[in-house]
Amino acid sequence: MQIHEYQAKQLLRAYGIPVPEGHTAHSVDEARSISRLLGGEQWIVKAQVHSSGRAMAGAVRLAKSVDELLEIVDEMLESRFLIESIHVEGGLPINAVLIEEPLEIAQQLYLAISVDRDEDRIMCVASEDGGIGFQALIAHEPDHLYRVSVDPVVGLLPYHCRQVAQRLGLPSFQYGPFSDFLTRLYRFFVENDITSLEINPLARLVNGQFVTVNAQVHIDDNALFRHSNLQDLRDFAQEDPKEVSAEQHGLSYVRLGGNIGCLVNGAGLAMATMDLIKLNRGDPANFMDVGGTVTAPRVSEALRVLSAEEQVQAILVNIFGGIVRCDIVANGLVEAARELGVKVPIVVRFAGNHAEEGIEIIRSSGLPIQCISDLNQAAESVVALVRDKR
Amino acid sequence: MPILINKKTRVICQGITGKQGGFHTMRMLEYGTQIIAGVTPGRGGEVYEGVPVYDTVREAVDGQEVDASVIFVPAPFAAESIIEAAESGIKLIVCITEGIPVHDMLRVKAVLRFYGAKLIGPNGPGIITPGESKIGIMPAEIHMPGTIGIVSRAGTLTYEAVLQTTNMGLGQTTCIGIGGDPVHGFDFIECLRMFEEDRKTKGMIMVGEIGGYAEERAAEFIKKKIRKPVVAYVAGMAAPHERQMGHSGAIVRRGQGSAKTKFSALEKADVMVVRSFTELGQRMWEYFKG
Repeated sequence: MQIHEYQAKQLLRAYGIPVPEGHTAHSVDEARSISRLLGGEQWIVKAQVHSSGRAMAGAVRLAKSVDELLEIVDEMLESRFLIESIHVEGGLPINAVLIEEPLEIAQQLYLAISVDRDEDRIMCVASEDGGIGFQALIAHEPDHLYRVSVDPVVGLLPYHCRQVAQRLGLPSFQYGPFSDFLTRLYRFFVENDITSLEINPLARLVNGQFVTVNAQVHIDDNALFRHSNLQDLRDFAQEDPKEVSAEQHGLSYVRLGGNIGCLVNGAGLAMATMDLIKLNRGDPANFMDVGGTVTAPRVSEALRVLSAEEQVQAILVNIFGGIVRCDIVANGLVEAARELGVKVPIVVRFAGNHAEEGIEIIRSSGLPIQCISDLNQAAESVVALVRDKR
Repeated sequence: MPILINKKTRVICQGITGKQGGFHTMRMLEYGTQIIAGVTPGRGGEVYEGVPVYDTVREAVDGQEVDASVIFVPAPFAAESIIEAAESGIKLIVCITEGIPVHDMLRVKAVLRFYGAKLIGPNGPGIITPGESKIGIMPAEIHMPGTIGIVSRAGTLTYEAVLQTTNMGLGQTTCIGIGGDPVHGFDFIECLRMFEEDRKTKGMIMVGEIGGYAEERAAEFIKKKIRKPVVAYVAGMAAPHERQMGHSGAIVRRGQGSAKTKFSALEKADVMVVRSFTELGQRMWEYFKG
């Protein structure tokens, strides 16, 4: 689960980790109050959206007067954030902006902590080249990144911090403050079940203080049960509403934009089914895993979700009955297809547990659903159905 | 001689009185798996399907030899259950549970190393040696004793590979689902090494997916150490980057862990890769046909 920058900063503040003075505004009126509250003559305005690349896209701006501030806030709250990597149709809504005091920055650093899945350890990554364009720079000069691998049982040690500080080229009198910063950050990471945390930039101020200018935080969904304070931080407005609604029905659903809907049990098989459609020169509309313990109502819901997608012109149902029985899936499908009056053609492939019975249920339903046991043929057929339509 | 488990393997089930644990214990018993005890805190003294239930793993292993444990405990408590099994001296732990927090798994891995215990999963179907023993949730009827070792990160996709090798008449020595979580127990490399050493195994099928470096590392290992034929497939060629595909480990981050790079690493190691998973069994069969 990703959280907003302003939420991350609130959490960081509770750990004694410095962040700029600032407040979130949801309206121009609130922005005006915040400008008075913060004082000064200039403010940074940051659109609160779940995306990186905000600065490049003009979603982080400097206001040099109150009028300009209000103008920027108004403009941001009226618009949606859309760059190439955004998958939500029409872009992300900007429902809040973070207004902060500008800082006197001496140096922009980069600092990240993540779970190193390949080594079963926790990885701290630092660079002296933080700021806008960091990712592009690192792609060309990977040795500008410095890594420290931490044993998750032992935890971060002072010498780790000194090593990072040294590598960042900090003057030795700043090792202490930097170590304190990194130690608090590590504690924040572990205690909140964070899977990845990125501070870019981490500012070293003219007065020597380290301040979190921007923070991107991902929290482990599987650990939310033990963090009641974090559960409410999920902002559904930043996600695809159709995916969220599918999730509430126990469906794992990712929309892709193709025209062949996929309904599959098992995450690996769901990916592999998309691959197979692509191999047959088709265009999968989605990833969908209906789960290992799929029930008839869930299958109905899955079909409802897919048939509500305008771009879906045909649907491939691929079920490998392990624990799941194909006849139960078949009943769910037939019932839902009748109820919804599904117009697009459906190709069904059943294998495993009660596959024959499942096929019989589909065939005797009289519905225009094709049953094809050979998966290659099933994929070919569904691709052909879409092609013939054109 | 298949790997890790056979008909003599003595198994306990943690979470035996739960819905999943109870259902699959019955299925495993039907298959002939020796489930000799169950554990559910607070249910000690009961008997489930003829299997005595204990409050703790310590009691379940007391005075008898136990080779393996299978865990169906809910995610918030599953990491603790793995640790309880390891600290009670069990050397092979199969965890079916999905959704264990990744920070819990980091601690689990440290405990496993200390006790020299091995973990299969979590978030996978388990392990089966066809005709001998099944420790997990896979459908038994698609398996057939034979010569192919199968190792996979994805549950239902494993079943596809199994069914194909059964239909081709090749059969399986042992099939292992290593699970779809980012931090997990057995890796491809450990399984491939055991299959290489196992005399009965003639070939291996490896099913990977996007996320992490496990397939790239396996490719390197295969190139150096594996002489037997390996057929491989990686799921997720059509998957978009930066989006989690069901499994919590299945995500391409910043271009890293993509199916494309995994396929190319495997190809460089002279692994027989198939772009369609429907060809896994066929490709293996063609190899042996010559």
